[in-house]
Amino acid sequence: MGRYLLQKLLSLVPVLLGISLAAFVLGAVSLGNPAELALSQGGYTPTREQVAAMERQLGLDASYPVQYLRWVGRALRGDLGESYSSRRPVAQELGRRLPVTLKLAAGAMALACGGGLLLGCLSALFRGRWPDHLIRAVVNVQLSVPGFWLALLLILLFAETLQWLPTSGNGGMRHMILPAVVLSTASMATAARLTRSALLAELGKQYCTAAAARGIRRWRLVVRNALPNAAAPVLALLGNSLGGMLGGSVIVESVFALPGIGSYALEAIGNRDYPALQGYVLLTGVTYVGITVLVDLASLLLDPKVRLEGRRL
Amino acid sequence: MKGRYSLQLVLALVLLGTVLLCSVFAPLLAPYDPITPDMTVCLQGPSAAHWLGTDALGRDMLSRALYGGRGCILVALAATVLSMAFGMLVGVLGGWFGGWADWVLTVFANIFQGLPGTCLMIAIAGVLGPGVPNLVFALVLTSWAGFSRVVRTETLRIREQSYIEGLRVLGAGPVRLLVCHVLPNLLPNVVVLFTTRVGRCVLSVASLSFLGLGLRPPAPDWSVMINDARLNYRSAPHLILVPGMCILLLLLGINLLGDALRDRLDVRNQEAKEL
Amino acid sequence: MRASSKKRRILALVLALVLALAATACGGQQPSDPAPEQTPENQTAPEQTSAVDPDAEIVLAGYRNLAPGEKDGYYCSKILYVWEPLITQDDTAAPQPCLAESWEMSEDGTQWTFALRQGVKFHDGTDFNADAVIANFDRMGMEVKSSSFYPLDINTHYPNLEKYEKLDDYTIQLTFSQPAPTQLYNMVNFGSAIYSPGCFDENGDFNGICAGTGPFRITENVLDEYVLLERFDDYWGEPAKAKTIRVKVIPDEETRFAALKSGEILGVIDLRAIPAALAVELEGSDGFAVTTTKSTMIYFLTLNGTEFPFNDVRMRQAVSLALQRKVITDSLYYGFGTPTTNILNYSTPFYKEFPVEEDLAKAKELAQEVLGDERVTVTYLYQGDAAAQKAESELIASWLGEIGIDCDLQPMEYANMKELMKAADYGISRMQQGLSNSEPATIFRRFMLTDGDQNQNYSLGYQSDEVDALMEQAAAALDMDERTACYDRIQEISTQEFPVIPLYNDQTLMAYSTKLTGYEAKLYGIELPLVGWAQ
Repeated sequence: MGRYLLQKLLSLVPVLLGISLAAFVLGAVSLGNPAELALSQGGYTPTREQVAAMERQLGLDASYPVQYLRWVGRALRGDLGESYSSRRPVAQELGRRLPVTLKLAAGAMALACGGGLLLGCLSALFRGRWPDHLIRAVVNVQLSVPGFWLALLLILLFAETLQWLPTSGNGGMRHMILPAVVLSTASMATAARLTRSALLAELGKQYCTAAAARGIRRWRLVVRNALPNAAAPVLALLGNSLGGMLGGSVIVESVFALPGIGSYALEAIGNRDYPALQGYVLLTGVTYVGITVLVDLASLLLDPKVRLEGRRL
Repeated sequence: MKGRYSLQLVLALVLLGTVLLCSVFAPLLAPYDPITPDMTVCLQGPSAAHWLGTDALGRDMLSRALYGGRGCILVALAATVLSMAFGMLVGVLGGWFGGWADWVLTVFANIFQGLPGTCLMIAIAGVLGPGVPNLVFALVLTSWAGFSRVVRTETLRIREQSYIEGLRVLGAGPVRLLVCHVLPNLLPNVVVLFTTRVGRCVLSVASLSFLGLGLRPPAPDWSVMINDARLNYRSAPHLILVPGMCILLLLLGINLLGDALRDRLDVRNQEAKEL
Repeated sequence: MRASSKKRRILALVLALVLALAATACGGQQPSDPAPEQTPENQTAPEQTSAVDPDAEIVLAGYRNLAPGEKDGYYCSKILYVWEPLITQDDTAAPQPCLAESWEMSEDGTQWTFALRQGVKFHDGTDFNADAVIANFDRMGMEVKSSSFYPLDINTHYPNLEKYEKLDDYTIQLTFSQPAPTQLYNMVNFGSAIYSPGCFDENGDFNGICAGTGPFRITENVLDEYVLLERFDDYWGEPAKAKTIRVKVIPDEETRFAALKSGEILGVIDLRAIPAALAVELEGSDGFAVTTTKSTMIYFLTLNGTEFPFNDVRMRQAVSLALQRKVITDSLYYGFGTPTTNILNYSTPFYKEFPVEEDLAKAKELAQEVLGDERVTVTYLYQGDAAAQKAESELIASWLGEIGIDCDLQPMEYANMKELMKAADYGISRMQQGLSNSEPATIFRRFMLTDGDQNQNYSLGYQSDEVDALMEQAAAALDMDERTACYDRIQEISTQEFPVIPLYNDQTLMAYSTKLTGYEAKLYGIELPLVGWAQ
């Protein structure tokens, strides 16, 4: 298992390199002169001398590989540069906004987890009957509905018409309900599907048939025996979908005007604030990789089969 | 059992067929010009003259809805075909030849798989600016690795089979083996993967367009229509209901087709199943 | 069996952990929620539940940081009433005394003497006097300081300034190399902002929260969240009604609207406070009101005049004639705007009214003279984040299509637009311009002189010997009437030669809860010191 872990960690090196390269290239290939961009925010037109001085200050006179190495070196020390538009450190700004996105993602994850397992269980329990059909239809719609549209519909219904929840903005728990629901939709549906098929496979096994023959209630069997066995892949799936949620949060944060890192990325794109965008890509990339590793470890602990496979590798 | 799958397939084909036919024949079906404003009939609800109402510039919503899927569908198809082509090339080469080439290609694919797709796609589309070529580039760059992984695994499996070994002993060259034996065997997997990926691409294009990073006016587009309505949708909900339903039906059709195909072709693949 | 029960326990643990994490993550935000009861004045005034506590905090919101802070040349906007200028303006934009009580111009118009108000204190407790004013002039002279409002540039506000000096503790004198009879208009508001010399360092940068002389002082400034204003008790004039005002930053227009409706904020201020469509919606509901007045903003299309086809004046005239400005202001902006063809905003006293001509047949004729029977495709840039601008651009594009111009619409961020415009890599662009002061020469110089900065920045390619001569004549003119005559003629030229294609003069549009009184839109913002709780 130690070797497996080591291998896993080693395989991360190129991925992390790739992420840093992608983030760097995004800034480097950008149109326009970064020095001029940095100076010309706020409608001010810099002189040629000022631009040249800024180029030296930003280290843009060096070659790309040198720039890249310097950039990575600074990033490793937690320095992601200064935002062009706000003139404040990008790392500080990301740190300030990250909790909002994490809150949103955690809420969505809880909903996806709870909702997915519940829908999946019900669907499996009532297999072939109308609740199963209904849930499967709902799941299909959940997988097909575009998040931004769902968000507007929910605002229209719950915020504008019924006035139960706030439309948008950052505030208390109530402000997070609609965004979390929207963000969790697709993951919830995938989790429900996977739970259903895993449960059905589990219920088809001999011990379940035997238990059923002995008169143990079906729902009891599902909750006490089948579900724990079936839950491992579902949890792994949900862990992996956290990466998708980071991306989806851009849209959700934009519609609900939440000041998280997703809306920061959008603002950065709009302002052509490349240090901010680079910081965003780097942060989400590293977070994503970190989650993948955690999920791997968790399934390693949970599933002896993976453990064995790991030994064989 | 069999009956339900067919029902699913029929439903998928009806939905997809309707949406696609409407989009293809939009110029024949649309009662009005979808682009020219008519400021005398702004923001009207559904009526006999305008079945689905009009938007803030007095344009007929039905006509705009008919035209609105064309760009999105074309871009999604193009992006998926390109990423499939590239992904298959890398996957087949890696899986077939093995060795260091495989190692390099796998690492390469792993890097792209390890990147957070949606985040990167938004960043790329944002940096390059809106427009079809940039959009396709961003989509391909973030989705080819999915194809290559599946194709590589399948190629590895097929390569190990004894009949391939036999053919090789009989003197068949690698090109012949690949084209005549490996590719046809890959087909079921690729077809299913292609369908689900087109669905994902449609969703991505729609999201990017909604954020203003994808397709551009003046050609009507469903998600752009939804974004345009954000000032007025409270008083005129049809402005978001019509285009949103169009996207939903299209995606539902694609996803149902993917499921039906998966069951039909009996594809046992985790990747295809999860998505 | 043992193994499986262990596994189940781990699983339960993981599940519980995930749920707990989610719960704490969601619940954990409540402390960070800026709760109003944490503010000091509410602690001292707990009897708020009875009638209306006149000292309770008033929460307002704007779309941007109204106090961008140390890096901004002005620290905060004029509309927060933190700093005051020497000269301000009344509702007709005529200069009014503020920190300068009176003034006198020398016979030849090259010398201005200002008598400063006495007994005025800065927020940091120091006295306002001639030394403080001289220190501010020194600061302005250092270098152009960028600002999100207007660049702080001594040459814009004090053209041809030769020297500034202190005559006595409460008198200063400015000497110009040319007659400057309209200098007062140059100095209005942003033209003569005065800060305590103690609040900037040797480079002229702020070293903390700025200290002005206004009725409010800033007690706390959290960028992108809020700025907290408190009544300044040593204010020289009428004290502000409200004790504390919190101005939040809510960039999204829909969120501002929602916050206003839910009572989270009581009013919206600043430019773009509320889109016309939403204001109309709000006006219909109980408990809210909308206030509007002339704004110093004008909206226009700039055309790339350095290239075919817009280097031809007939093409610019054709574009102007093809536009149905009234349809734009009425349908898209619900009447909150006044069509115009004059480059000068209607809030300055120098504004002259010209009829807005609209004639599609004539437009087609003119365009055909230039284009022949060809059509031409141009890029049309507009700001992507303003929903109304998009509809407007599609509308304008459809009209221009009729005179042979096909528009490639490109939504964009303001900064990107300006970059393309500077590189002359565009056809049409939707722009706006506010007045930094009420001297129209500032606008004429920037847009209509060959080397004017906006003329260059926007690649307008505008050149007129007559305007050059008129500007020189006006600059040398001591007589106000002569100057006004020059300005009238320049405005007339602008409606004929179209350095830009003006669309409409904007209206300041703000919405507020009727729990407040004194909420009245002004040329620039609202008069914040008058805002208070309604009884």
